[in-house]
Amino acid sequence: MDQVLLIGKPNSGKSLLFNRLTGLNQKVANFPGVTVEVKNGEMDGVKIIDFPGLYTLDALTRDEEVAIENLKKSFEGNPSIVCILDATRLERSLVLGLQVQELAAQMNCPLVFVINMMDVILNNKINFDLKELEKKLGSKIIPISAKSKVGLVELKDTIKKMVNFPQEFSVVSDPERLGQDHVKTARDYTQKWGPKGDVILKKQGILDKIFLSGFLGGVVFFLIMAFLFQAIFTWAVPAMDLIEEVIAQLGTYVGGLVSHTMLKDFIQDAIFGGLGSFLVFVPQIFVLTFIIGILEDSGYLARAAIICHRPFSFFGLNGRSFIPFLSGYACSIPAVMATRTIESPKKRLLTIFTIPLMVCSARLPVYALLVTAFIPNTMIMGGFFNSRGMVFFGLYLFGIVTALIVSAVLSQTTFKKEADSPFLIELPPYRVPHWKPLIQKAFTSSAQFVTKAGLMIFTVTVVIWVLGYFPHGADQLDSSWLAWIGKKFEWFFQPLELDWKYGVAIIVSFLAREVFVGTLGTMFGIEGADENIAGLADNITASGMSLGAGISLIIFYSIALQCVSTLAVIKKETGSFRFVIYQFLFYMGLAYLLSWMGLHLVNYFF
Amino acid sequence: MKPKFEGGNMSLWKLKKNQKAQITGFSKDLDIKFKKRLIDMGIYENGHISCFLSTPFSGPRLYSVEGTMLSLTSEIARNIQVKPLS
Repeated sequence: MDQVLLIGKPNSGKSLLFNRLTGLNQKVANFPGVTVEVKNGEMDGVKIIDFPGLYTLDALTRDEEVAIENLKKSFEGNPSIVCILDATRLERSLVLGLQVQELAAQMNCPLVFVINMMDVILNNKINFDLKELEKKLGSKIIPISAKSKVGLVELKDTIKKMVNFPQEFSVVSDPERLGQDHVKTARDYTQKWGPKGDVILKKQGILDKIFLSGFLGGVVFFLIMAFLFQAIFTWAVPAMDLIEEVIAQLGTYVGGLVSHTMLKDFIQDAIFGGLGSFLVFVPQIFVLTFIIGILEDSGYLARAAIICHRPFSFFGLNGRSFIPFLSGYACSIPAVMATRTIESPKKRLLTIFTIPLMVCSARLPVYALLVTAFIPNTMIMGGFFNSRGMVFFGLYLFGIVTALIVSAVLSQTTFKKEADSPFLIELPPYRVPHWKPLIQKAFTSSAQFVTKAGLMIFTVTVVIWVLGYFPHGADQLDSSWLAWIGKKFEWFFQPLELDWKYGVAIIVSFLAREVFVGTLGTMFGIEGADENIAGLADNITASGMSLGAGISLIIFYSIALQCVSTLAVIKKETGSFRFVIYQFLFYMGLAYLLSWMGLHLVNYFF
Repeated sequence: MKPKFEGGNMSLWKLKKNQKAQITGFSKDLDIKFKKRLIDMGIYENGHISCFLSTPFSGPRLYSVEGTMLSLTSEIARNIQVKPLS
């Protein structure tokens, strides 16, 4: 199939043009470990490839290196080149445009320029000499407005002509230009024949004054973030419940077709249970990807990153780490996927590393159980605060504080040598987001999660089910292989004053944190402990566990990376098994250390 | 280490809101690759720049340059030499 490469600087309307040309018939390719995305689409039998926006062909960051390498490789197949220029920022567009044109000349690829945002130029009655510019550049320039769909027919026809008659669009090097640097040439051409005036800038400036200064900016920021948080924390829940319900029903149905007990249990609990354990995350991933897409497309995300930059960079993080952290309070999985907006590899890795410390919603039942069992329900500070409520708040605070400290330390140690990129951004224009491509992007993200992370989650779920089931079958967890393992490793948990029952519950909750409650209940011989936390809490208190041991368990739970789904997603996003193993062991060690300290400190003082 | 500029020059970071200036150079400490990127993005010698907006707690500022709005942190802006235009 004939190939066309779509190249342009960021914020030039390239994505919209790509969508208009390919009609959402797209596939996205990700490169592991970097945030680079290349989109493939089809238009009337021609393959169109959309590369990430670039300012220049001289790479500064690792992401850019990967993108530019790929771009240059793609030129080898003699594709046709469509290079987008932004009429409202022509000088900047030409800096890349001239480089691309030169590369096309070297590699013998036909090229055509497209000048976008012509609607703005015409609306503001700005004049410029397109014909002369075209003559000077030596390649055809097609004026369009991807937004108003103007000029697209001519562009499509030109593209088809270009793939069939490449010689008509071949690029000849201009001897005058040879040796002169692109920035000077771009400036020269724009000043002589390009549009004048800072029209857009004035309008955008007004909005920036609102969103970025002082009190109003802070209020807007807070409202938007509260909205985002609610969306993943609360609104995705009905869909999650629906998925769990449907899978459970399906499991019962299919299991009912089989009479052999073990096979029935395997189908219902291992297979369908395993499926459910990762499909349940899809609604949150979908919602978060969609909302972040809206924020990014509208131009607001860049402003939010500016607001958060200073406080976060103290700890080695980035302004763009804020949204992933916030999302982590609902669930780590979509939060880790949200780190794709962080351009600096070092800051992205640090963010991914520390997200699991946020108190995700799966931990709440566990905290509810442990707080009920160990913290007395008293009112403190003159009846204004409840001691249990305070501990909960303290745990939320503990999460973010630990994350910032860990990040600050690791940015100077383990991650010190990682590639970083400085904070220099061209502010994107404010615009109304196009929701259709964002819905599709949300679907793609969810699908990628299911296919890439799903397998690992599913496998671990089945393995733990097998260990917990044999040799005596369901509901005999305390005499299973898993219990045997728990008893064998009791020495590991002994310094924390936890017996083998807790060891088993901790191992099993590696699958999904909230499973801790049900499993511990089973260990104590209580059915349906998730519904009756108070009953289990009484059992725990009655078992004579000290306050110190209770606190140490809470601390352990706050830090240890117990969630195979999170590990699977991190492996997928970083492309590195080593990272995941290091992270897991790091938190295991830190959790153990702080739990042990907590145990002894509490027992000493109380 | 904060670079020092002489001869009526100052660092971009010292530019006040709405103040216009001409870019006169870069500090020697600036990484070459990074200097090239600044030039590609519109911050080059003899070009004009003005401070549009500053953010609380010394956060990144907005600068208007050659028809584009850029956001820079103090670490970067301190390495750009400018001469204010009255």
